[in-house]
Amino acid sequence: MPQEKERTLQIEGLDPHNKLRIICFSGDMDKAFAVLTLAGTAASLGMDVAIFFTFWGLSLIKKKRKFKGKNFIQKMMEMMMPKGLNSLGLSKMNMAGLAPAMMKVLMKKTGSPTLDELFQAAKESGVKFYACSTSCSILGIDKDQLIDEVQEIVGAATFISEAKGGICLFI
Amino acid sequence: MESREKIERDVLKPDLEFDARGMRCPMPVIKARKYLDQLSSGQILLILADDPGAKKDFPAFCSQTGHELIASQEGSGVFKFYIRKR
Repeated sequence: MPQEKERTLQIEGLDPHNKLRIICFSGDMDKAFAVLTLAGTAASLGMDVAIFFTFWGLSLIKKKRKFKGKNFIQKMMEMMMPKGLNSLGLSKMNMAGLAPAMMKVLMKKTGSPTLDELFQAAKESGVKFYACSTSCSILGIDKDQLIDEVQEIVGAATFISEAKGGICLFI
Repeated sequence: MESREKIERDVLKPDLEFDARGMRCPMPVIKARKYLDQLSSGQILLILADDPGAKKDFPAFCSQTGHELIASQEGSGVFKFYIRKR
């Protein structure tokens, strides 16, 4: 963490190490649930929370598809990768797409929040969202394809140095 | 003979009530934070929850955030937490 920011937090009486960083590598619905639950809860416990979406995780924060300016393979990836929280598959037993629908029914029946509700709750609790620059450049994804809540597209070095001293999870 | 509940409320006098019954983890804790944000220091929030995880989640929430858990009660699957904002 930059020295200046750490000092500012200490002056305010906040613990600069009381933070959670989540590297969201997975684009699955079940894992997204875990990512957002942990993030939102940590934030409501007063921790400084940020999520770094990389590779398959970019699906969670994608708002629109774009084919212009991409090469053939990138276009294929664009078509095959799910777009947004509601179109994610399950990490296991996806059953050709049947499973996510069943999971949603189950979650509704037991009173669990939807992924959208969880995302809103996390956002309102102060969770920050970042996208990985490497994955974005490999897949040819621009910032305008990502949801507005994404602060910035950053590199690994930025994210890791920001995570130092806190809890870091790889999901 | 007044009901036990009425006595409880008269003594503990919550300033705000959050009915989290029907909500599942993590919503009770996340929303509780927002309810607490509406209160001033020293005021009391009463939370009702029926999520089994809430039993330990709220004491943990209090120890992490520094808000004081002044009383808690459990009955017929419903947990009640009286939390004083720090």
